[in-house]
Amino acid sequence: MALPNQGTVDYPSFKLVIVGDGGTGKTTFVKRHLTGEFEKKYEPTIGVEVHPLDFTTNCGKIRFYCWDTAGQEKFGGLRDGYYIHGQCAIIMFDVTSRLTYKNVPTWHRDLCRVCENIPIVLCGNKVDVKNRQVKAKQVTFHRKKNLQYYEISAKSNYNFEKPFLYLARKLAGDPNLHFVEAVALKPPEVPIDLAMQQQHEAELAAAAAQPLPDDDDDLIE
Amino acid sequence: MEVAPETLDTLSGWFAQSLSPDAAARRAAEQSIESAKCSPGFGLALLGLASSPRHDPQSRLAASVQFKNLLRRRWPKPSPDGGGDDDADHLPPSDCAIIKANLLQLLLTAPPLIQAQLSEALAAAAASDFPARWESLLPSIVSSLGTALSAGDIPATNSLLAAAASLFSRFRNAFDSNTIRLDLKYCLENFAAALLEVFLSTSRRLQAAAPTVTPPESRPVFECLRLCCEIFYSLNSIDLPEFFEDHMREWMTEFRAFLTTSYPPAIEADGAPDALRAAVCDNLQLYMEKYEEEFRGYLKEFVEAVWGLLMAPSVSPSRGQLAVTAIRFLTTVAESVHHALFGSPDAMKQICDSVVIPNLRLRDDDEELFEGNWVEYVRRDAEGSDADTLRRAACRLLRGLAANYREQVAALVSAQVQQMLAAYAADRTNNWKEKDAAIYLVISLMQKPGATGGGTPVVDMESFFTSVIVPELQAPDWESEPMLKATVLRFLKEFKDQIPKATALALLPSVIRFLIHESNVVHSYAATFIENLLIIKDMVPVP
Repeated sequence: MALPNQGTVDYPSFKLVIVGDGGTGKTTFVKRHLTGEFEKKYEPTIGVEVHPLDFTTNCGKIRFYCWDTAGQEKFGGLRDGYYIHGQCAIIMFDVTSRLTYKNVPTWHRDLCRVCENIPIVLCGNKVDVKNRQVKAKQVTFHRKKNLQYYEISAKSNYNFEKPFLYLARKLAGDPNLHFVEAVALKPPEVPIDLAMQQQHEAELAAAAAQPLPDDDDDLIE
Repeated sequence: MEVAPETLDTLSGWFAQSLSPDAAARRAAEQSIESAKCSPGFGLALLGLASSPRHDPQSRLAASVQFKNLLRRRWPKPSPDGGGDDDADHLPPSDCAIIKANLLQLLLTAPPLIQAQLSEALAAAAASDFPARWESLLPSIVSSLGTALSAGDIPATNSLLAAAASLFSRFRNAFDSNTIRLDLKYCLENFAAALLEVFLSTSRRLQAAAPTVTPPESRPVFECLRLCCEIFYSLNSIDLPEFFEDHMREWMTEFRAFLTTSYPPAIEADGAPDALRAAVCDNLQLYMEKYEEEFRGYLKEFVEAVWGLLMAPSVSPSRGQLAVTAIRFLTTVAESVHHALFGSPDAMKQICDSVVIPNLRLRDDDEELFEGNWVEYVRRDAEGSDADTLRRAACRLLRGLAANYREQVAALVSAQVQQMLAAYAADRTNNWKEKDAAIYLVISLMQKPGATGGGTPVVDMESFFTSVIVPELQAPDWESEPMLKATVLRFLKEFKDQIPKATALALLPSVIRFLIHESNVVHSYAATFIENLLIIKDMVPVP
């Protein structure tokens, strides 16, 4: 059961690989869970940082070894060499940057080539920012690849536990598994603007009346 | 290609350590690997380790990953200015020559995950060298295919086809140009005939074996045929090549066989047959869209085959995704000049009853999404961009038919809606999904798709509203069946322009109740409707 070279704990542990373009908030997301701090200053990750993250569920404790990988090419280190033996993954993009969403298929392809059939969550980060560039309706990649998609905000704690809960359920094979002890976090730096989110939905409802283009192109022009 | 065993052992140890969660051990290993990268022959050492049966699988996989990364970054690419500083970091020509001479053979004998990496490495090298500077590659693939085929070695055949598929994928989404056409011509001349031979031979093998074989035995055979279909798609993406036009009958005969043959339940449950069928449907879609004139002779039989496939009950786990692809093909035909294939009353009724309606009903996946990821559910519903779901595909088919047969579709759907509502009335607790499907149908068909287009009238809107929608809003059991309530609220959002102000205001107390509903979707929809209601202004007469 124990993976080679994995630290040993007496409860289930899993290697979680976190990938995505540089600056999308991968490290901030992990640190938010580890220490509750929100890191404002951007400092690129070099190679990979591995952080053990424990959760308490109704079925007992579990640990994710979070392999927080470099998003920037020049700091990539062994790049997808870090994915080996990954048991689950998060692909992160930034909703304020179209390019980071455009690169999601590349991250997904490299990931799937190394890890077969693992549960993957796509995360759109920074949804607390008002002028998002990747609109919700433009995110379609996850549907074609059977990934789960969550919009999150490390800054406002919006949906912060959802990716881990989804992965935990998939790995345990138990759709009813739930977390019983909340991670102690600092209060959100900024509350998410729920009225604004509601406004987005009203705008989307208006857009829904338009006929759909029949193309398979996921890329945003 | 020889690398010293001690070199491989050292490298293997470093890669094992590079996967350690312990930062110190991992970084030390990375440092060692980084230093070694500058040594001559590093690429060959990586390839040697990846191919070494006596080393442990994870180190071999790590080596193959780094080999692929090395080729991506350091494989020489022809530079427009004829060289420069970049040359210093390129792999030496002698290493490149050795890699090109050995890579295909090593790929063939590698375990699956390593094979995937080496295949990508081959694609990286081929991206710049194939075909002009790697003239031995395609003949080697063809020759090895012949050998594998004679030996009945399906896994080897599949490795070769996967390599070919990656080489030819450049023709998909390629801008037409003389360069790309010359490359295509070269590929066709060398490979098209061999592809057809593999395809026909493997199809015969499938037909001979299918009744008795087990899923692990049949899966590679289906995969082989699916890869043939993928390559077919790539080679036909730019234009209809003469070879494929000449041999269209042979290809189409097998395509139709895959669509119309039922394989034993254990094999169907494996999902491999549906993966093949989905690839076939993609090819039919391509031909229907781009080569309709040449394809029309086969169209009737394929419409019947795809249609029959959709009507057959299935145990396949991937039938849903196949259905989306298949329905899309039928929609393309329905919207084309060949819509008459659906024109008879019997045909239209079958499409409606056996293809559309069954795919409209809510599935377990939808309920899971509604409860577990309500933001996604709201987005999917509100945007109308759930293009890859069965419900959306089924409704698009109906709209496609309605483009040419408005009255007939309206009558059929109207009858279905009444039938669904009757089923609900007979047993509300167990048949709420029937009402949900009925409302979904009405929303989808009666929505006006654009500024000029009219929807398809399937119900009298006013009586539907008063007899179906309003009672649900005012029902005392407003906390039960949240998905149905959400669909009802969505109806209000979609057709708010058609609801008189006085009527909408009268409904406000009922909708306000839903603001405290425990379902996120329900209270979000209620809030959106109220917001829209409050911002609508009466039309002011212009003097």
